[in-house]
Amino acid sequence: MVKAKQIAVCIDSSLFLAEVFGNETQSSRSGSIDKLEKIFTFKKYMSETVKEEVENRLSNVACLIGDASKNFISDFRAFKGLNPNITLTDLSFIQSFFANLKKLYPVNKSERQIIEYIESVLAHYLIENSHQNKPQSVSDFVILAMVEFNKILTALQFDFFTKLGGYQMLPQTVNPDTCQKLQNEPKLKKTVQSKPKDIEILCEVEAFQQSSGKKCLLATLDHKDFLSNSLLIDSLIHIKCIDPIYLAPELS
Amino acid sequence: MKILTSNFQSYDKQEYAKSAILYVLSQFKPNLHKKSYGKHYLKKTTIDLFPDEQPDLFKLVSSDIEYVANKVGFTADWFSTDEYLTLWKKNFTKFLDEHAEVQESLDSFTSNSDDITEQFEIMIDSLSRLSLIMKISYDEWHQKSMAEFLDSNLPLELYNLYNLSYIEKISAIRSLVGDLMRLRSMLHLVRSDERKIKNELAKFENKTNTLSKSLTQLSRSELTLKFYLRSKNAKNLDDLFKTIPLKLDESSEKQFKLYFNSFRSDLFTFTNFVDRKYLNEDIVLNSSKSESFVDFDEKLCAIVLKHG
Repeated sequence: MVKAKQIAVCIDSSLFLAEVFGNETQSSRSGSIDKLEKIFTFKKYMSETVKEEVENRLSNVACLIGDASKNFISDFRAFKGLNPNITLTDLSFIQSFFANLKKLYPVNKSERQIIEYIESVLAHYLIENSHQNKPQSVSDFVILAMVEFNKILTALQFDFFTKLGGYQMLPQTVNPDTCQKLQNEPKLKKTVQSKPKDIEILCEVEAFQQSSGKKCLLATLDHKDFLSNSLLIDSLIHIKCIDPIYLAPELS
Repeated sequence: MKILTSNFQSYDKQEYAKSAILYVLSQFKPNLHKKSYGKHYLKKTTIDLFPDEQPDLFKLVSSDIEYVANKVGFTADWFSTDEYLTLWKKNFTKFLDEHAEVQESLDSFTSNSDDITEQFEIMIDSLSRLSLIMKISYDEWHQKSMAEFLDSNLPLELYNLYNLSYIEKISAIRSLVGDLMRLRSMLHLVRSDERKIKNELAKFENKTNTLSKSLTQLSRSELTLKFYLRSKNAKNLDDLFKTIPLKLDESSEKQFKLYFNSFRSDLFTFTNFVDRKYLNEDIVLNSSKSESFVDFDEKLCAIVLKHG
């Protein structure tokens, strides 16, 4: 058995996403690595590709919120014209603006869900502020609504940064032969086609195993692409894909 | 439709507070002296926190802006480092007029005091006052920042990072003030032992040098990004200091991304240096005051998880 000191626990995007953005169930699974760190001595790694993938998701969501809220605010201000204050009757504007916007996105798409959440917070926010003793001006309303959106996204960025700080980064280096092996494997064809980044992550972990002389394990929550193909991947490139809750025997 | 940024004052007092902080930090160069006392010329070791030659705030600002203007390759017939500095000084004077306590604090650096207790007081007092200004004016700054976002065509993510950077800087300064207080107590305890004094100073410098360096690095990459965006939209010198709508055309996208990524990377490094204890307290500044936004973050987290 390889000693824990010689083991590098690498993670994929599914695990890092669960760690930063997961609900209680998902983060308790990803939290297993933190618990093991207190018992065994090993180092945690993440490849640049994993970091970029999570960073891009966060950027895309921030972009969607930025665009949708900004378009709403611009149209709302044009609609209010010289009318200086917000009132409950402005709710009808929110309703019609978002009805038109929602038509552009199919139900169940994440863009559609984000737009629905924005609609709901803006409607609530308008009710909350139109009931104050002193009526709120349109410019104050739109700026303060944006401040709230910015605060929430800032908190997500903060979580992302602090969690990221717990990992050492793997270089974006791969062995072309390893990539070829994985790409030519018929059972991995779907992954190769739909999630090429997953193959890249496997190759980066394998290259690190070669260069560092450490035994690398890939901790993942992705059942479809990694865990169900664990034996196959191990036989091809000698990287074991493992659910973090079952990591302990590998480290003892 | 009236632009939202027009409602805000024409200079960023928070930027001047940040410059003053960097200036105060540049004053901290602790060293040991041997001094002779009395008629028997007894030699005693004394500690001096400040450098022999006092740093010049305006030289620091001038060198920063020269570096940034060169880096972004900015030239205009109305722009020169000297003219920029003249306007910077004018705004800084306004900032000091509005915050007499900062003026008083910065003036005390010129007192050339040899008394270590007084030197510690000056440092701690200046940094505490400046971080308090940043904390108190956070809401005003954030609203101005969002007005700029709404009038501009820049990504919201940029403003997430500006916000985080603002809060982290407050935390870093508070952390440093805490460290200075601890150092003062430790130096008092080991006051007669030169070896231990050196040891304490080395430990402190080791810890704070990294923080100070990464704060300076972050401030510079943020200044580069902000200067780049403003210079792309400025029509005169005044515009470089004002909160104005910022438009980014396609041809500038590549350079913007370069500065943006450098800022994000420096902010990440800085986050990892900042004392978590203080940061967690200060991140409360960022908490929502609205019931309507309760749970919105959890909903977004679920989206980020599945959004591919």
